[in-house]
Amino acid sequence: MKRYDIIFIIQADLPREEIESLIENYRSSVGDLKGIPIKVEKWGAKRLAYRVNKQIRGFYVLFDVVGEPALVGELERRFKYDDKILRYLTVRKADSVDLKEIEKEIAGTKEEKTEEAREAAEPGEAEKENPRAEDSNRKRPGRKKASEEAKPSEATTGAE
Amino acid sequence: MAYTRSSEKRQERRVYHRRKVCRFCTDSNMKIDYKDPGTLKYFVSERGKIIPRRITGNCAGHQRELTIAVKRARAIALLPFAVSES
Repeated sequence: MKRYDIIFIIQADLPREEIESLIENYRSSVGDLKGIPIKVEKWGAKRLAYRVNKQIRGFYVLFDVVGEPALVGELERRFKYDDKILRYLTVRKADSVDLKEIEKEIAGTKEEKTEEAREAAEPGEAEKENPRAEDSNRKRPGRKKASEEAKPSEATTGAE
Repeated sequence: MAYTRSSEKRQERRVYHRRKVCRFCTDSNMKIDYKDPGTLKYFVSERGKIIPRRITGNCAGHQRELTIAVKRARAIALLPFAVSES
């Protein structure tokens, strides 16, 4: 079991419900593929640094996931065929994980989640500049030789 | 002869030399994270290029981490690959 950061960008001009259901869909598919989603961060609609598929804005989502390498392969394959996903990037954070530690972390993030949900109900949350402020203080497993696994998908650009 | 000349040069240079220190080494709060374009921005030129270490004063290890972080940030459109002149 390895720990990964999976970031993907959804088209921001989709209706909010559709984005939510899309995220939920991928989150559950992590479970189907024998992975454990530790946390799901929605950074909201952000301006892209450059145009991707003629879009200037994108909805960023971060999955912090524990799973086998096959999980990443399958998830990226699905991202590739999904036209609503503009970009994705997977970074390996740790080569081996302690499941007890993970359980503790999940218990910790559950409390935060309820806070997040409350914030989500208020408008303007999507534009929040730095939702990771509290996160950076927490200890992270040192990422050693974490390789860049996802390449910007040229295939999706060509499909346009 | 050649030896003395080089030592003279070194002395001359010392006058202008200003010691730059790695900001990541001195400030433990600063972290290199590809998800944080805010801090990465300081080490990228207006054109979107990574600023060399001889200018920023970063240490080799941190510069190496930084370049990887910038490249990852570019891949997910948090940082630009290039900023065109307008």
